[in-house]
Amino acid sequence: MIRDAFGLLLLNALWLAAGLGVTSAAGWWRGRGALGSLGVSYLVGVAAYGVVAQLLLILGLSLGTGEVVAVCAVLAAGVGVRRGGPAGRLRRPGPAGWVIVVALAVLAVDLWFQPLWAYDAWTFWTPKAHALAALGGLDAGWFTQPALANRDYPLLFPAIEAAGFRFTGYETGLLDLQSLAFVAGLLLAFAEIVVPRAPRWAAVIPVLIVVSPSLADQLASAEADLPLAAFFACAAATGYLWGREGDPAALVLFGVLAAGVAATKAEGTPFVVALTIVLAIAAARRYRAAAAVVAAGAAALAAGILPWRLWVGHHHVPEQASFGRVTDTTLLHAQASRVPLAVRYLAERLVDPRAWLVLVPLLAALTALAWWRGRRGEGALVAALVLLCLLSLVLAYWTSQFEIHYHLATSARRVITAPILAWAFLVPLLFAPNDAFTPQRYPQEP
Amino acid sequence: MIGVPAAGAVTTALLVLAGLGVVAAAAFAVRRRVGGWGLETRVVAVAAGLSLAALPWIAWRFAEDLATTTRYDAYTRANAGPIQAYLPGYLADGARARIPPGATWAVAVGSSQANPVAQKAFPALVLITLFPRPSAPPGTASWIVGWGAPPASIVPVSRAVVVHPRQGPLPPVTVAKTRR
Repeated sequence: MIRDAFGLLLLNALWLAAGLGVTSAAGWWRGRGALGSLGVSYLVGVAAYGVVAQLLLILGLSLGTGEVVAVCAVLAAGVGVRRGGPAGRLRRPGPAGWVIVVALAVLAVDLWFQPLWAYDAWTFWTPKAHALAALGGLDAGWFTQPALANRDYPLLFPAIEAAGFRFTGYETGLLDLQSLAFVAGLLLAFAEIVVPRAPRWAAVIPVLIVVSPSLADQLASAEADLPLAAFFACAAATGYLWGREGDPAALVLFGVLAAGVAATKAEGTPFVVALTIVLAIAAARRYRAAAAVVAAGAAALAAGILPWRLWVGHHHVPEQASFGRVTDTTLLHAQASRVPLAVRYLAERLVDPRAWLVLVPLLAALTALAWWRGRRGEGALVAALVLLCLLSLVLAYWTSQFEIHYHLATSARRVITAPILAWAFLVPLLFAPNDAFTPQRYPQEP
Repeated sequence: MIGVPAAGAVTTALLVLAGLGVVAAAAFAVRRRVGGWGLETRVVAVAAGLSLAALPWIAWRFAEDLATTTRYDAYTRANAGPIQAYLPGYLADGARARIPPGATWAVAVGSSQANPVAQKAFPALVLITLFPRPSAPPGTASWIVGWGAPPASIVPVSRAVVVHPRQGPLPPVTVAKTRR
């Protein structure tokens, strides 16, 4: 298993290189700024690889070891495209940083001994990844079979796990550590984007995230909710930076990460729609900026989910969350009693201290404080983003074909992770002084 | 985390006491700095303090989890998923020996004394056991795997064979080739 772990390390280094290529080409950093962009670059690398891998699998490629390396190499070639950007540096971690390092080390030890046990992981996520690796790509006969659960879920997460199997063999014991790499990337991204701009107390928030029992539980489950949450939180932060600074690099990264969100799970699509709407409203007075964010969101959905939906439709795979279901007034009326159940259950999970300790009440209090301090428009938009995401989850439970109590009990604790982490990224930025942002290259208004 | 039990009353009381001790120590350590903190910093500090109170409980969870997972043998480690669903990982192995590679299959699960979670998870266990053979709708599958329901209950089949006998509340697993 130790040798396999080195294989996984090598693959993650490839994803980091791919991400550095994308972020460099976008103009996110230059020179030694790469060292100050490792977290964002890693998440962007995984998202970009996953979206490209999904497309290549649909086109019939097998994505063997050589192809995985080739895709990462092509993305990494962007390092040669120098478009400027800040020459940031890697900061020495403060006390909060060291607490996070220790917490990640403890989590790594625990996850090393964790078997593959979570229901969704062993029944369909990992079998899909195994099939991608063992059957030489997207075998339509296997992926459309009736006994396979959630056949309509997009392919990013299985493609990432399958790439891992190419480098480690069929070693399911390392999948949790792969999830930990996503979380490490997320926390680094917080240090890169939020900490330099926000007040000093912001450094406490990633500590509260990393010690949350729900994070440990989800890491041990090897499911897709954590990577989705990592992409979404980082997409929200880069989208916010586009609104405040007008940096085109932030807009590009928002698009790449949002495509990763849409390609990870079914709820990713409404999350991307909600984020795009909120960012567009935030930039509404700057017509071109708003149009650019809408275009980026649409491009993200086109790249992240459209090819997969076409494949699913072509192979007549029934879709659980379709536009038809959420607009079927007969179904909505027949299952209306689910709405209060879902709202109450989600609210309880949000404030359950056994899951996220006091993180959500803290974020709510800070959002209210931002409003009180005069950041009313931005505070309202951050709250609107969280509420829109939660409303999309309520709509999913409302129209779900599964028994509601079972569905809530088995998924609600996980699906709230993305809005919570996005909220955690955005709230400290509400308190950032105006001079913490460096307005750059907004498109010229007519 | 797979190995975390519900804490008993005594354990809970001890963890709460330890948590209060941690918070008291932290509050003592920062008592002289609080005066210079703004409102936001104080709110964050209260949240951090409340989270510190949970630190002993969080540490206890890790200790319990590691105490459980480090004791797993190779079988438990390889089959933790099905075991969590009240299914032995080898339950459908006999079907793999009988159903030829490339053949298609369907599952017939009937009511039994098996845990409802096990009944729901059984098709997934067959899926990973028979990999890479794909499943098919019962009407077109060439083999039927029955569990708590005879294969003949969904389509006409040739003679059904028991490939795993009854085991406690788990009904026997039967396999039959469909008749066309």
